[in-house]
Amino acid sequence: MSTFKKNLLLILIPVAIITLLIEANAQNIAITNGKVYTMGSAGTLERATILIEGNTITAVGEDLVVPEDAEVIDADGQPVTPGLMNSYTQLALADGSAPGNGIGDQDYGASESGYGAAFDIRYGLNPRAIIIPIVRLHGITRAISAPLATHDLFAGYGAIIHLGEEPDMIVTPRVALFADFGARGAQIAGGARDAAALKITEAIQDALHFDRNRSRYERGQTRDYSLNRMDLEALVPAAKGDVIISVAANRASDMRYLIELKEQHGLNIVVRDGQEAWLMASELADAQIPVVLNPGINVGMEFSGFNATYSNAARLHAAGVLIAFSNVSNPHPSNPEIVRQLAGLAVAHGLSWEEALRALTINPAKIWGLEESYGSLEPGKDADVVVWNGDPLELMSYPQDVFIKGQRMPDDSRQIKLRDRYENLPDVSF
Amino acid sequence: MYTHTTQINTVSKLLSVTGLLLMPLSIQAQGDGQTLLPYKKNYYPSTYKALTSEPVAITNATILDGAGRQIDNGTLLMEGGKITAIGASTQVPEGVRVFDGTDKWVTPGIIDIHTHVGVSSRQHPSLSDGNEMTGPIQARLWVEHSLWPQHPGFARALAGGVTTMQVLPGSGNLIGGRSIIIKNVPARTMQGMKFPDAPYGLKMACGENPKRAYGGMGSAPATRMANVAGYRQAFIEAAEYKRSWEDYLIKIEDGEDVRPPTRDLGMDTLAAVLDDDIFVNNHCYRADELAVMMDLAKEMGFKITAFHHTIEAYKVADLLAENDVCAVMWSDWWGYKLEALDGVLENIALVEKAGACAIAHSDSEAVMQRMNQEIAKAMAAGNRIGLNISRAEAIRWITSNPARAMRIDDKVGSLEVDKQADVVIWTTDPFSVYALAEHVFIDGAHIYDRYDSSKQPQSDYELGIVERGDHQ
Repeated sequence: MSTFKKNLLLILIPVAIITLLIEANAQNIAITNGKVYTMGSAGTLERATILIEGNTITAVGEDLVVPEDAEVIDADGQPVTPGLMNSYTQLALADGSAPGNGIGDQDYGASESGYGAAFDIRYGLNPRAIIIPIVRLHGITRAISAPLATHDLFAGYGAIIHLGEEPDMIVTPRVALFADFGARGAQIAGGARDAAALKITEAIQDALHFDRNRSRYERGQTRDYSLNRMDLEALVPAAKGDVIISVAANRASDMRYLIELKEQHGLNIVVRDGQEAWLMASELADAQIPVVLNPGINVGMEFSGFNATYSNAARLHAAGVLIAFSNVSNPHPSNPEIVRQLAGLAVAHGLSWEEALRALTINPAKIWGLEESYGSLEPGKDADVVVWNGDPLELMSYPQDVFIKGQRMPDDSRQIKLRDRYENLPDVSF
Repeated sequence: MYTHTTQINTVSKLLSVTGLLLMPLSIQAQGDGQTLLPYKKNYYPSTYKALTSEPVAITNATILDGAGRQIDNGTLLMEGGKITAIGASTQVPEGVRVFDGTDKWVTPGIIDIHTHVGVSSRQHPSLSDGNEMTGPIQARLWVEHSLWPQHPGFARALAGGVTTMQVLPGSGNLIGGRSIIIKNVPARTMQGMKFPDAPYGLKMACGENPKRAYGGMGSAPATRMANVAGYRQAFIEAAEYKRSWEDYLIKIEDGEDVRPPTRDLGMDTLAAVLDDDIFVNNHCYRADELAVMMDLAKEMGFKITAFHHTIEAYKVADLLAENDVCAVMWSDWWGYKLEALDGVLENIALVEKAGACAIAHSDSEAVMQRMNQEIAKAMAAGNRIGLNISRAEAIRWITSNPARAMRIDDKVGSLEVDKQADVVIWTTDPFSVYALAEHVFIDGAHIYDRYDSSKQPQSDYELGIVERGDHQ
């Protein structure tokens, strides 16, 4: 072997080893000694290990052998849960935070566009939005990011996003079509719920008719439709029941309408908000309609939500309704992480602790069709894992470590940098 | 102002009852000023009367007294609307109603220094009565003239342990008008809730809100510098107005026959601010604006008692301490507009650490019901960076510190003998998300009971529509 080749090998071998080591370190993680709330069939494991390879959980159990090359994170007996999910936000659709008074780009709605159902937030999502690291450091790793209704009963399509550092944050594009009924829907439709109901029926009929008569539509041989071509096209999968329609509504009578709508048209409906949903809990359960609610709403200062109560979550669950949480209706949606606090509030008002955690993990996975890859700590699922320093629903607990798709999130955000800058006044270093 | 008037009335009554009619000369002279100066008068006096109470003992509880102490296995006695004893070895007298506080926590009634309950509603435009957007200087307004006692938010807040609040006009104007401090009791009238002998506050607002509202209409202010010019001009006029009345008083005392100056409602209020009879609540987010406003107050000869929504307080916490100005903050709100972009979770804790007066507020019907939770989050954030803030210290942010800013700390805000018996018994540690207010007392009266719907006040607005107490 020539000296040159020897020298080359001397260089290449260590490089290769180092590369392998780096890869191994980046990809194999063992979280040990955790009180693991799997949210799956294994239930809660008192002293367990979670093995992560790459993006994925490979094993969860009490007697696992930790591979030698794995980076070990000792949870020291503290709770370990799946990453939490907020089931309705406008995350990553505005620069500073979610909807506000005009900070930079705001891509959650386009009142002047003329589009309704066709609107899709996917290209407005900004993974570099300031809010993302702030929210994930509270243990939120997934969210529904949805458009806001402006001028049309159908606000458009939202997506499931993850809050990791990858440039593409979309987990499921077009996960649901977002729509409004109730007081807001009535307002958009021209003043009454029945106008909204007519518009919804007309839109569904038109979309299905369009779908059956596409070639005639192209030749201009169909009747007039209430929607433009893009909206018709977008509405077809929802009208066929293939895609979820998330409908905001609060009054108990609105729930009856949505149950009928589902029965008549075979739609796949998820109620959003549902402040009085508990009054129709058993009917919603029979109709298998899940509810995404804010457990912290109990002042229905509109006639639609008179019977808003902190017990909404507990009563819906007791009747067998599948529930998930968000801070929907919160006047300040800049804090999507407060779903964790709101889940605790639901527990204070009668929901079991386990169900509250489910409503932030496995329940949204079920509702939004994500059960294959998220919602529980089980082999084969994405490694969204949070190691806590105490009860994950408690106000004074916080995550020690947050993993999103196997990546450990840095303990850093713009908020943390600001704090560090001003922590020792009057010494400020710009 | 009317604080003094009431005291004088009380003193005269006492003196006449006891037959001692020798009124001190200084009070007599002050009394004349009260009568003659329009901005010293109390035109809409409180008719609040404490509800019936019985002597109560709360025993074996963990007590956070609001004055900085935690008492384990403590006992609290109240009688006649007042706190009569507090301590670890307090004896329980015969014949009092005993609440067993084992595993429970006790705090002073919560004070929310910033709400709009009763004067605004997101949903009902017809109840939107807090923001008079018809001109940026609205010192003439008294928010009590908008206050709707039937707003269900009052009873909700009571179930969250809130016993006193300051209701403020909105923040769309440079000067929004007078606030009102109320006891959180059900009443037919505003006067029935009005906190006896509490001062008025003034609402002022910096930054984006006024300039956006008026700039958008093509009128002043459209910039922050026009905001500042607006306050300065108003206080220059107020100083002149005050002088004209004082000149008038002197001439009257000299026996001259002079006509009084022309009344101006707005100037009445600003003159009272210059006399320090009305305290200033200044909605102000940005650190640089806080510094400008502290200089402005010095220039114009008044005091800013508290900055509100102070997202950037942590950047000038040392200046706040130096100038003895309170900062009123949220635990975690941020980002809903540009001037709120720099919010940090440690804000309240860092202000506390700097030795300034830290206060937590709600500005929200939802947050108002769980202010204990807000301070828990804020304390935890501070302790994560090693500030070592105790529960006994943190509870001050929603009790004695706002009481001090609202100038009612001689009456409420801490559990000390002779103070008004505004007390909350919590199911557990109020710094837990699972804690709920179980019993609430106002002036010693057992006004809220989580287990007895007859002690869960319900507004007319909800009567016949919602089951009493079902909002919990």
